Amino acid sequence: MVRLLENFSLELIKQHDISIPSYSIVSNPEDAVSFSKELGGECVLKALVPTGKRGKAGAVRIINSFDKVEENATAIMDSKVGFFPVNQLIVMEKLDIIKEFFVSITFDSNSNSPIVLLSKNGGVDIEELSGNSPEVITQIPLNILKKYSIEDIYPGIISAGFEEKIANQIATCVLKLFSMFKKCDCRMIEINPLVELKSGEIVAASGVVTLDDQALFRQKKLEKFLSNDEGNGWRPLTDLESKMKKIDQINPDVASIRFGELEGEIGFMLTGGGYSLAGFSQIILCGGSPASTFDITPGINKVYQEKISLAVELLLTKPGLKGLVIAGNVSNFTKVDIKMESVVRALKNSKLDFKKFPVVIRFAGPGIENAREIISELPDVHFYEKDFSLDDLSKKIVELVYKRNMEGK
Amino acid sequence: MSIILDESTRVLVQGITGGEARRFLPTMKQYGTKIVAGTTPGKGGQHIDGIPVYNTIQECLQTHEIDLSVLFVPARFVKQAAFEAIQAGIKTIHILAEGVPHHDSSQIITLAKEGNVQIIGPNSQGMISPGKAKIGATGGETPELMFTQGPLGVISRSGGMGTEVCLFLTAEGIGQSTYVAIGGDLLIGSAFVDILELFQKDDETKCVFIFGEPGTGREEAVADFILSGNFTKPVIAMIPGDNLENSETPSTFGHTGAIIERGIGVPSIKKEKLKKAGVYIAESFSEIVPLVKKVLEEI
Repeated sequence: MVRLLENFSLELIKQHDISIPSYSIVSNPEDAVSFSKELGGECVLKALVPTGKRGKAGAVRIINSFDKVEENATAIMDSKVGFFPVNQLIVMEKLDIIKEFFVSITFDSNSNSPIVLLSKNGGVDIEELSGNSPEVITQIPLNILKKYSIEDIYPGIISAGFEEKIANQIATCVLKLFSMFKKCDCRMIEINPLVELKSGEIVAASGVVTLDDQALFRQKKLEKFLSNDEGNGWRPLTDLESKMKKIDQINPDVASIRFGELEGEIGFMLTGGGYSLAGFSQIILCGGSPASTFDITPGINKVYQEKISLAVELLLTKPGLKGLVIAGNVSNFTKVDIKMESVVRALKNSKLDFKKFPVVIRFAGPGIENAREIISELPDVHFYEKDFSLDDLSKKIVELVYKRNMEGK
Repeated sequence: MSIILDESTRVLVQGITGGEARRFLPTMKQYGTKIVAGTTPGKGGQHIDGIPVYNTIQECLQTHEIDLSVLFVPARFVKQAAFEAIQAGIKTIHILAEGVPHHDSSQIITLAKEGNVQIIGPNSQGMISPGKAKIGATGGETPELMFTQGPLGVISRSGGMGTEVCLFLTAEGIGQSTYVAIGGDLLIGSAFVDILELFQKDDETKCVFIFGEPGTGREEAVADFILSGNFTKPVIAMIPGDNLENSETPSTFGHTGAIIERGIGVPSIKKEKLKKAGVYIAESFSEIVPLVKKVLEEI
């Protein structure tokens, strides 16, 4: 999923004929002051960061008088939202709000269809809203192949408790969002709050749009909305992650790498979605602490080998690393000797003493005889084959890294 | 018996002239999969590995009857190929590609439902009815190492992990009736319950193992399905990740479905619900084989 920054989310919403407040993006408190003057002094200051929970972090502030803009803008810019520093602010027009609503469109994995989530009590966290009282959220399932009219949507709006006088406007808004959802390959659109103004107008006061990264190839028009430094969804990329990204960029279409750096001690390179998830969880159960997540998709041998080699070498430079586990579920076609060759090359280049820095490898599948031969050059590396289970693997690496006896566990 | 696939299932390969198909096809054929035809637009008239190639499915259907079509088609062309198969009236369609746009998946699955067509995948590694036939990458060149015929139905969201489980089961002499990798995406055509429905009717299947993941409500749906009396055979399940629920590292490990959204898909809640429905839970990988063994002995 690709999460768009709020200004880009709002621009996209506006392009689909839904009103948004006037705003400006500023990079310092002085500019916040001068733009707020244009807005008449009253304004809303928000941190422009690629993550949620801004409200709780104190990074959304309603400013009622002009002389408070600078100190509040400074305070937000000096703070962090989650792990993200605040480098930019949105200075937004303060609206004359009567009511705040919540509206969102996302995919429902149960029906495999889009679903509208709607509440007449917006403005708060949706998780909070649905957790405390799920009945306040109305779900309207949509058929992705069907064309809808206001009349189709209207009953759902009424059953969500909206007053008749605005139900038509809300239905129109939902239809516009559905059209945007389809046209832009969205994974999710959330407007929270969608507000009713004193004037009767409906405005998207805040919005988040996430796009389907599996469909970006056909959304060239949206490329300008994608930022390069959006981080990994919950914090900015670390130095190691940025370096790994460069390795992946050698050929972004072949042997794609997914990598995340963590605070643990065990270099973790388990490939295959389910296998790495289960292994990650099992190592923690054994009392170990992974220092990374890593996955690479199969691909043309030469690129695949180069990328794995560089990835292993890079991970081994991580300070505080006390061991490395490299493994994969039994492979169907991917030759494990091809993989082993590149792993061994990287291990050799690292010049580490594997008596002191434990490395555990488990491979199974085609090419295993050759892989066995290749790894025999490094007798201190612990190499296992098909009979070595995920639990054996987890125990082994934890035992070696933390010098614990895991017998009987 | 087995489900969906056996030695008499007449299989069409869409995208037969592509690299993926060329790689996997010989092992499928060798294992016993009855591949009767292939299609690639513009490449009709030739033979691949003795299999006739047609430009379109319509053209192919003038000569052949097809029970199942497998798509060896890159993600961005999957929608077009799947629509062609659905509109041609093929009743089972297996989509292997990873990275299919979610809007395409939703459209394919919706259209299939209207036509009473079963979709497996996308992002499915494959499927195998051991000793009879296999589809996709499953089993690779050495299927007998990982799979053997027997009484256990296996369903997994992760293709690799399902195979890994079968590898250990096979080593212990526990065979499988059919193994289906249903796919790791958020939107997939056949969820656990859709496959359980078929296993319920299959006499060879005595019990079922499912490998779940965080995210989606698919494991919870299994619990409801069992509690409403629709599935009466024993079920064993493993759902890793409950110790990662509160972690600040929301990695999906490459599966777009493995994400907890709006409080849906929490592993500990899945396990709780399944336990209440009488499902045996393996807390770790090494518990799977003994648990399956015990359950099979008790039947």
